[in-house]
Amino acid sequence: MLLLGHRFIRWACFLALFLIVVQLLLGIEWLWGDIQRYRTGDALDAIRGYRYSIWEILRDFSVVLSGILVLLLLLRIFISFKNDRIFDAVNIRRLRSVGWIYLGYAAVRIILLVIIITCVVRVSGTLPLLHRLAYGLAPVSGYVLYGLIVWVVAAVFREGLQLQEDQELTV
Amino acid sequence: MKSLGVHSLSSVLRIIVSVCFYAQAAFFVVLLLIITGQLWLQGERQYTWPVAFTAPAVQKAEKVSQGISAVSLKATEGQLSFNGKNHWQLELFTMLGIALVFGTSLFVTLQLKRILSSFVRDKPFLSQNAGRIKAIGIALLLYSVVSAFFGWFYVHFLNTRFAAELNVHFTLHWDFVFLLMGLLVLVIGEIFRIGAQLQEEKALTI
Repeated sequence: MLLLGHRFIRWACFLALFLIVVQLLLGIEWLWGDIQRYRTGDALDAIRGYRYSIWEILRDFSVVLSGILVLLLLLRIFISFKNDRIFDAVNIRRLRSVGWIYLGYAAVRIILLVIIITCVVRVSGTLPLLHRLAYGLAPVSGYVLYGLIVWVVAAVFREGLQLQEDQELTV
Repeated sequence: MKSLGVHSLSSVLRIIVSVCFYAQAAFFVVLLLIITGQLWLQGERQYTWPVAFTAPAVQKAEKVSQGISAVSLKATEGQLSFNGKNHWQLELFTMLGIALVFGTSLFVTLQLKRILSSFVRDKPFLSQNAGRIKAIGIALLLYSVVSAFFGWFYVHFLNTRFAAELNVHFTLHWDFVFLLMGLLVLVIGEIFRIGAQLQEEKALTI
């Protein structure tokens, strides 16, 4: 119970917010950086032109937006733990929303990946290598998996809510 | 589609996690066999290390120091390739890196596999599950801290051995997402412990 106490939540929220701000500052580096620079580790970035950077900005924007939404929902869930009512119908809805955000983000990434690959094909005249396509799709499959796992956790919360209501009725 | 029980989302996830677990284990064994086989049969082998750095697109150097040759830095892949011969430090870094990544990954997927198996049996709130989830959280926190320390030594080694010849500066890439995930998973573990308590109380009442 100590872990869910008021102090832990407050510090966890502060830490999460601090880290997300750092992440955002690192993520929006392109705002003042050279937009055509090479970025290590991302094969698709090797071929890049200003005309197509709008899709990359959208990709980065979707990262930031989904990150903020997930963080806000998680913060509201953690803050609701302060009332010592862990299993709550509102929290179940929030968790399911987190799952939907992950799945939605994965869908956006797939659409943007297709657009970026089309751009790469137009610029270079060749299709990116298969392992490079797999490199772009790997994180997407991860987000789909996270979304499904969060849904299962939401279902477990529903079980917990039933148990909690049964206990309250018994008392 | 229902989320818990047989023929549910949990059972689909359990299959995915099981496939991931066995694929990782098989890949880990094959990787170890290749590494030890190359060392025993040839005495020299090619290394491909993931790196983060600031540099022009492609850099090459024929020989940087004793036992290391044919060095190639691929900016677009974020990889440093080179041939090494009888170099214990190279093997140490390779083995420690592989052990760190695979050790954590195999441990986490094994625990997930066990947790999802209990979900398929429609018994999510078990005290063992709370313990397993906390173990995952601690593993992620440890991974985050150990990988930061390991990364520091790794980057120091790269900068002393390769940086001058390749005219690049290797930088530390520490992903704090694992730290956040570890904390989050610890909280989920605590929630499962409370759920397990409720379940036990219900069983005692009946």
